[in-house]
Amino acid sequence: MDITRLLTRRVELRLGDERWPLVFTHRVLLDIEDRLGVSILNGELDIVRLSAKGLRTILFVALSSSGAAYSAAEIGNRVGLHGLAVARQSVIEAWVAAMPAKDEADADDKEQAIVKARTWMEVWGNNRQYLHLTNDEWLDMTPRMCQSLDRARREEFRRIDLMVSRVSSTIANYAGKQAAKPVSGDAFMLDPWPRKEITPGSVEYWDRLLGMGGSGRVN
Amino acid sequence: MDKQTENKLASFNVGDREYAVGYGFNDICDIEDVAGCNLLEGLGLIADGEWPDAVQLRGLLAAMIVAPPGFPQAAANASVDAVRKTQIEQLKYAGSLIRIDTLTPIRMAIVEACSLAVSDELGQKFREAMKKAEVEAKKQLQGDNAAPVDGASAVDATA
Repeated sequence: MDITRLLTRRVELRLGDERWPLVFTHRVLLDIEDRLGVSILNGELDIVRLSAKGLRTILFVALSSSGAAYSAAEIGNRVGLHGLAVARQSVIEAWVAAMPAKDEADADDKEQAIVKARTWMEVWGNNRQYLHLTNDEWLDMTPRMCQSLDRARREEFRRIDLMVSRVSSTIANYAGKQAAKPVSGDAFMLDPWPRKEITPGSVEYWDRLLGMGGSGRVN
Repeated sequence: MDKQTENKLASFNVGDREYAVGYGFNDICDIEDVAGCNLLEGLGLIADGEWPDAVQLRGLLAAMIVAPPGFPQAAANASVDAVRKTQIEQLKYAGSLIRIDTLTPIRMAIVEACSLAVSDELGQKFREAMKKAEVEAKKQLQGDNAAPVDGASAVDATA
């Protein structure tokens, strides 16, 4: 079993006597877009209020990708009215499992929102460049897996960024004319961690109090 | 029409003519693009005992009606354009059957056809929706009896 199916929360759909996993990899998503003529990235596919054709197409592409050999019409016949609600629920669950989790920083990070990719070409380019994925690796991964890799990459970048920023802030604090207020250790970071509340007594608390860094706010 | 439930059909009358309807998911999928609306949502509304909008009702009827004589049908080897053209004609045909006096019978027939296609709790849901539709239909009929607008009693009243 490949890593995508091992890591992604298992959602299965029973058709007849067989159970088929539903996994929305980039390959499956691109195929769905192509068949339905909608842009998933721009929110043109409402997964909660799927049309009949949308549901059948999604099931056809996802099940074919899992090895099922049913035609779209066969899937329509097998799902029937009996399995309609179950199929819809399974698709929603599998969709949620494959899509990126909501990022804590997303809500207030307006700059990030502006530079967010809006086409699959941009997503692919970004993932190829920064995550060093081959085309096949990328096609067989879910967006959530790419998000996980990207989080690890950003964390690594931020650590290096913080080291450089601390050197810069030390120079700013101790060389030449000193600023009225000490420059914090993370002041020169290009991509700082999201700001968070700092608990009194924690390492971040003392760092912040002594002007040694930390992007949080001391209570 | 690729009706799944060929032996489980519901029916409604328009004038003296009887029409049969049966549930088939593929039929609904196939006509959805031309119908230009979300037919699954319409089906859900009917299941909940609500009214779908006019476009949804027409689309569902066109998808579920068992081809009566004169119903437009595409040839087996028809091109995509020809199939689309036929589907538009099917929608027009279905639309011509939906009149103020046939709205409720058609809705009830669709609900009944769905109910006949299932046997579990979902079927129960459809049956409940059907009962609700029946009650509404009876109310409408009672209303009609209370205030006749045509027929002998109306003529008497104005005499």
